[in-house]
Amino acid sequence: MKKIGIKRASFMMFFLVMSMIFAAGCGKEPDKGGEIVLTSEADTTQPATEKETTTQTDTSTEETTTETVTETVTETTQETTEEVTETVTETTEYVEEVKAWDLLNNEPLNPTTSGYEELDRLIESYMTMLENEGTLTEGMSNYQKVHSIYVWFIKRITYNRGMNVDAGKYSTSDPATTPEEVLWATDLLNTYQGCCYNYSSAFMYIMRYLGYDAHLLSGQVSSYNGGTTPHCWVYVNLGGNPYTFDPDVDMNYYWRGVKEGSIEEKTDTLFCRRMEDMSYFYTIEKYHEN
Amino acid sequence: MKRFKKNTVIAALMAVMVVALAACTKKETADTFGYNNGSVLLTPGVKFNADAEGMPETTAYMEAASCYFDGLDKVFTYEGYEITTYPKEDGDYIQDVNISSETIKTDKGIGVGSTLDEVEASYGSDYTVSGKMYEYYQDNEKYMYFFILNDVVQYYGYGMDVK
Repeated sequence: MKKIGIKRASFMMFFLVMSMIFAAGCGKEPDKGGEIVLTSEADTTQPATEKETTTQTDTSTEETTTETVTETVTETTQETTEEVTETVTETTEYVEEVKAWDLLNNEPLNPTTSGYEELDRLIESYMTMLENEGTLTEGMSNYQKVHSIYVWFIKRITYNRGMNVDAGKYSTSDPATTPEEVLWATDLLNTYQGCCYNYSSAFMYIMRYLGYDAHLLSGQVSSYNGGTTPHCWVYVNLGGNPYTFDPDVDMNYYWRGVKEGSIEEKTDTLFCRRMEDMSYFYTIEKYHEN
Repeated sequence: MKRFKKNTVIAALMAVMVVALAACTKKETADTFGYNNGSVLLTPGVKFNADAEGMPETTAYMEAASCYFDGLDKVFTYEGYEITTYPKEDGDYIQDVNISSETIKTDKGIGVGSTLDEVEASYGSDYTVSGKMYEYYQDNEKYMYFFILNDVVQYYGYGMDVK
C-alpha cells in the first residue's frame, strides 16, 4: 500500500510540474522580449492620423515666423553702432527667410513634366492626394505650397538607404532606358521611403511640376559628427540666383530635434538658402543633367 | 487492475498535455513578427549579425555613409531576400527585411504574386497606404508591408520607421 502511494505521489508531482511548464509557455506575452503580434484595427490606424494632423499645423507656424522676422529687422536699426554691426549678420539671415516668401511667390512659373509616364502620373496622383488630405488648399500662395510639400517630405517620408541600392526596384519603368534621377523619384513616390537621392530627385521633379527651374546636385555634405558624407540635394533658380533646398538633411534636423525634445520645429534650416552661402556645408561634385 | 487504469489515465493526460504544449509553441513561432529564414528570425529593430550561425552567404553587399544616422547604412542581399540595417553605437540593427522570392510565403500563404484581394482576405483592410506600400502596423513603428503594383504583390517584408 505504501509503495503504491509513493508511485501515485510521483505521478501527481510530475503532472504538476508539466502543468506549470505548460502554463508558463502559453502565458508568455509575445510582445515582450522583442516579439510582436498583430494588433487590433484601432491600433493600426493611429500613425496615419498623427501624420495628417502635424502636416496641417505647420503652415500657420510659418506665417507667424515671417511676421516675427519683419519686426526683428525693424528693431535692429534703432540700436547703437556697435550693436548694429553685430546684428547685421543676424538680420541678413532673417532677410533670407523673408526673401524665400518673396522669391517663391514672385518667380514666374513654367510647369514642366519629366516626360516619363510613370513618374508624371505619380506626381499628378501625389498632388491630388495632398489636396484630398488638406495639405494643399485653395488660396495658398506658391510659397505656402512649396513649403507645405517640403514639410510633408520631412515628416512623412521614411529614411531607407535600401531604396538607393537598386534604383527602379519599386517602379515599373525600365531601368535600362530611364535616367536614375527619374527612378530615384519614382521609387520614393511609390513607397514614401528613400535616402537623400530619392528625397531630392522627387522634390526636384515636383518643383518643376509646380513651374520652378529646379536641378539636382550631388557631392559631399558635412556630417553630423565631423567629416563628410556622400549626399544629394536640390537647387532652384529664383530671381536669377540659385537657392539650396535639402529635404533630406532638414528631415535629419527635424527628427533629431524631436528626439531631443526641442520645442522649436526645425523644418527650414536648409529651405531656400542662397547657394553661394552654403559652400562651407556642401561640396558639389556633380550637376545632374536630368 | 484498478491501479493499472489509474496509471493509464494519468499517462493519457500527460500525453495530451505534451501535445498541447507542442501546439502552443508552434503557435507562438507562427505569430512572431519577422521573417524566419529557417534558422534565424529576422525582425526589424533587432541587432543584426551577418556572421551568425544560420545566416547564409550574401549574394551582394553594399554599405554607405548614412546621410541620416551616425555610421554606415548596410544592405545585405541573400537568395530571395534582402536586409537593410541602420547603425547604432553598439552595432547594426535591422530596419527592413525585403522578400522578393515567390517561394517564400507568409504563415498565411501570402507572398510575391498574391493579389490585393488575397492580402486583404488574409490580413484585413486596416492598413496604411504609402504610395503603393500597404503597411500593417504592429505598433507605432514596426509594420508588415506588401508592395503592390498593378494589383500584384511585387515584394513583401517587415520594416520599421526609423526616426
